[in-house]
Amino acid sequence: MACFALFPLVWMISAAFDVTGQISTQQLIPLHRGLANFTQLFSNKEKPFFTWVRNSMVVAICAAAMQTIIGASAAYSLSRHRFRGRKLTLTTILIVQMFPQLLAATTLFLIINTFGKTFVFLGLGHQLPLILIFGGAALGVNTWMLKGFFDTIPSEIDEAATIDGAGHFLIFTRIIVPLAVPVFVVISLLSFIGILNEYLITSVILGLDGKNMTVAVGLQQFIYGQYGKNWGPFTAGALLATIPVLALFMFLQKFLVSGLVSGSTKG
Amino acid sequence: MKVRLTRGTFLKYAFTYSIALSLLFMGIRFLQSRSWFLSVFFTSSACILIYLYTFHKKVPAKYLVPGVLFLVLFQIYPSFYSGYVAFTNDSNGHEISKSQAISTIVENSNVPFNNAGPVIFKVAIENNSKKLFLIFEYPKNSWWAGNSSSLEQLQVSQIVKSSDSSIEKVHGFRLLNSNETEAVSGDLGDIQVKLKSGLVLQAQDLQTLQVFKPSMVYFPAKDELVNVESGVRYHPNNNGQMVSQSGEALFPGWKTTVGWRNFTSIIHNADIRHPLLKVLAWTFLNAIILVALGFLMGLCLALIFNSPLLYSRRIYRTIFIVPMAIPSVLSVLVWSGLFTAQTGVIDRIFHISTPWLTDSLWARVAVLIVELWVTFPYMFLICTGAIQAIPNEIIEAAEIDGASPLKVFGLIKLPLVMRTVAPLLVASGAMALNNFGVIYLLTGGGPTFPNTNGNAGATDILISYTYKLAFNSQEGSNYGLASALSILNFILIGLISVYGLRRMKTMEGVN
Amino acid sequence: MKKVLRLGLGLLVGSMMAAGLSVPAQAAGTLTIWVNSGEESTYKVASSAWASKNHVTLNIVAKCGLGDCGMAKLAPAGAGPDLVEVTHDNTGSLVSSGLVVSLGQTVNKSLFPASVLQGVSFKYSIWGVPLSVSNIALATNLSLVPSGAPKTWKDLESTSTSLISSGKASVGVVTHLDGYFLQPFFDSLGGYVFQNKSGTYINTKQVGLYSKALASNASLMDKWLSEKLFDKSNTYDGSAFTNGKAPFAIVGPWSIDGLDKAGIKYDLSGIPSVNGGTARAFSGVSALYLSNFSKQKLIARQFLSEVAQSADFQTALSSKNNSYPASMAAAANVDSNSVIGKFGAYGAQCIPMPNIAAMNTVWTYWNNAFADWASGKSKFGAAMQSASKNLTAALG
Repeated sequence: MACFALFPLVWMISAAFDVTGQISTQQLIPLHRGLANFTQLFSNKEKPFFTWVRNSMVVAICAAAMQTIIGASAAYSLSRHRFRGRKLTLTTILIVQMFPQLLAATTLFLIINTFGKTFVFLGLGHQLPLILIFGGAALGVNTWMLKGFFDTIPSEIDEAATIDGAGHFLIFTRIIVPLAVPVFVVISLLSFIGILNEYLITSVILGLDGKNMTVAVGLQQFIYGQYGKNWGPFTAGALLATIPVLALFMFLQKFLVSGLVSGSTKG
Repeated sequence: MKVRLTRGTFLKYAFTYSIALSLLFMGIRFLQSRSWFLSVFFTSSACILIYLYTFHKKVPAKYLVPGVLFLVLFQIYPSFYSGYVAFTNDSNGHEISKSQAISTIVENSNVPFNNAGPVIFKVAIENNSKKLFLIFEYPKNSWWAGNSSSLEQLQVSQIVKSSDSSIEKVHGFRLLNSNETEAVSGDLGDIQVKLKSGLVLQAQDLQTLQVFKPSMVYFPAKDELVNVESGVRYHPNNNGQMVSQSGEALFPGWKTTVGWRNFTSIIHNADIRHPLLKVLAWTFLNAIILVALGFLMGLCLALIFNSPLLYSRRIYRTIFIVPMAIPSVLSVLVWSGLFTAQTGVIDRIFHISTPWLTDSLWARVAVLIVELWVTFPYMFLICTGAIQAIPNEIIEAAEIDGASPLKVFGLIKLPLVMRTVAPLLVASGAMALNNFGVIYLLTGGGPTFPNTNGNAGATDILISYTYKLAFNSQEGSNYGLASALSILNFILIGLISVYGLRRMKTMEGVN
Repeated sequence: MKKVLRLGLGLLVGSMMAAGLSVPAQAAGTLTIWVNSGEESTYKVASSAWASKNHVTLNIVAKCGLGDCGMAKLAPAGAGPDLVEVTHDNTGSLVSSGLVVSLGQTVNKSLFPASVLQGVSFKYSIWGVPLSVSNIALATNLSLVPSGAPKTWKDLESTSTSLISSGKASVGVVTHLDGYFLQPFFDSLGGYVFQNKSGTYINTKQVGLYSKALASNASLMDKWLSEKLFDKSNTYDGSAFTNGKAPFAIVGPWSIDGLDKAGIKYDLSGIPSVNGGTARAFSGVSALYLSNFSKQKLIARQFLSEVAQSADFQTALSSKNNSYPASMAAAANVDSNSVIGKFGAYGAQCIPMPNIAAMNTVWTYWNNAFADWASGKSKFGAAMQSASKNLTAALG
């Protein structure tokens, strides 16, 4: 099992250090070892790897934060308040996310294009509109998970705080949020990796200009053509991009088990 | 009443209002570009924001509205737009509007006239109307000032020529210098001057016009195109195309609504139905196998590695999260390299020669292997969570009663775990129906089915097939049909999700 | 009172911020060009002098690899390019969708060979400015085949079979098993997509996927497949060739960087025909097309006549993408022993890809037939026969 789990990672490492750059004919311990793939990756001016990493991080961190904040505040209101249309809202946000967003890429492109004519920084080729688009996906399964978790926090706590004179904002930020940290971690982490993985809408909005691409879009360029698959720099880049994410997961793994289950099943 | 304006509230209002005003501004922009929905959306969002955060006392909306606005703009609106496209003939050859199509047909029918050489022109602005005119001489000794909408004959006396016989001045007009001409070059390109004889003059660059004779003429009143040489008349049909009585169709066609045709063609058109049925079958098979195997794997691992006896369980748990933590865009591409036939790593390890990715069956196996690799960590984690959530007392009590480990598992652990994870499994199943990343990157849906016009392949699920129909140039994109299929997909997933929802424990909280 | 004051203050601050952040519309004189990925800098360098002289801002954008790259959706909405670089087989589809403008007067016909112009012509007009011509060619691994590129088909076949039987090679010719890559073999067996005469398509209703000649020769393809002259597995990354396990490969200009990087010694040549002489591959002209929805048609035309058709520009582009320049003036400067020269020499004998509006349908049926044959589902003749029948029906 462990072999299965690690299988591609091992070959990714092996191919990254193999200067011949052919994953399909790879030996586990490469015959020609070297760092050529890495130097090739770093020196390519049309494909600036570190800029891609920075782009990816900016987009994924901002958007994951946005998704979590928007999702959490919506979940707070859905969990703590009773109002008309509440049940409908809950069902709608879940169903809407099921609509295939593939075909939406063109519509989104046109919206963002018009944005850009009004505010340059909201236009195509900028990261902010992409972050906003991902932010639009905040209401969904995550909101359900958060709401499920908030429901488990006894409302007596809020009531006590209200008697002490705390407003709704204070209750939310000082009481609810700190209690829900594990769920927040899991949701942010899943959002983060989801956004890191996205390439269709990302490439439509950011464009395929070398300096605008994210890691996911950019690295694919190395093996884009069926003919000139350039595995060496691809695997080298994939490896470098994987390490920080992997580290993040390792670091936060104790939250994963509890967070994933608690939200959806009321603990 | 005392106005209390702390720095915090000041910032809050400055923030809210600048966002609201930006939205308002955007609303006006969309009004100008005639995007009615977006215009209304932005304007009303601005109003809602101002109202909510200034006057409103109700708390829930303050927390809910930002998310809802995002949801409407970036999810619901594009979805509705796809829904609308499903009722149009939007496809290769029907991508532009009717007026664009007709002017393109007329323009494409232009034939350069009798070797009339290029005609020199000047750009001028008429003093009275301030409109842009082209000044030119055609044929010799007749001078004109014209643009797309009007044509005036000029008297020779109006024209002042310089010593090198180029035009220096035209009375009643102001000639533009070369910088000014460059600045309006965009407008010049669109100007078509139509002479009484039917000839059309169009700028080819910033100095010269070309004379054309159109062979198609459009009569808006009758909505017909007439070929002036053959006399054939063309009328619009119900599929956005000009056709003659003999059935000859003119290109380009235009985008128009076609009612339910895309949906009925799914049923009636065997070329679409046959591959689609195969795709649907695999879509469900894939989701069911994936969830079943994934859950089984996750459960077994969770049971094994939850036992406190196992010394290195932390290390193993860490290893099992790895597939989750590698961006799957990258890992799936690595897998595709490993699956290369004969020379590929997998074939060499097992000393086999398998047509991975090129044979229907093996390609499906390959897809399942990679999908399993991607999903099992999630299954492992939720099963672990569910097992840990089982109160120890229950199990101890059972053991004291003398239940065998097998019985403890079958009668106590499994039902409790199932109760927790069943809704999650349904959700994963629904997600699997919509998740085309692995398939797109690994096989591209291939290998394609033999003898079908269409790119449907053995590993295509509904969503990847939809993607191909919409974007893949090989099939000649059919956006309308793709949208119809995506609605079908949505309904399927929606039904499954609603079923899952009903079973979800959290629904109890919704009252 | 308090609320009104808040509202007023907010409006003031907000409107100031909004005004500060908003921008005027884009300045006139910007030309957006979608080019093949990797050619951006070549475009920028080769046209910067022209751009500054004419006060034009160039916006060169790498286009995604597929077809028209969404132009059909984006251009009518005003978000498309002014000029787009596409392979000529898309001409019919672009024209019949109304996306491009006729360039009859802009293209200087005397600069280009007739075969190249034919590629970008459709319905009596010229729609694209040809930039470069690309075609596949046969690469021979000189360390496996010291005698060099095969002169005849027998040469190629016997070299392959003997190397395979001696275990030195695993396959004869590394290639994709699809229409584009196998066209030369298809051609030499007497098959054709549309009826043609001396390199010109004369009847695009007459499908020859199962022509009489092909029908009688079809079993040869089955034999070659079983002899491992072709690799049965369709996933081709060139590794068998670059690792020295195959004497020959079908390569294109896009493969050259990979071959050079692998450090193997190779020669490029045409593909010998079974009946003697040379088998014809498809040549693809990459060309610049002017969008029907461009707001800068005059400047775009000026770019097309003053930059795109110049020998300097075409030479720069060709050395970037390893394709043969379309313009005869630029072609005259190509060293016939260079890679580009060798591609070009074979290209001169090739036949342009058809460019009818329904090319997508052609590729689909044809490639599917090759896939059936390669996977062993049907014999070559049977696969082509049904593809021919279905294609004829589909084209109407």
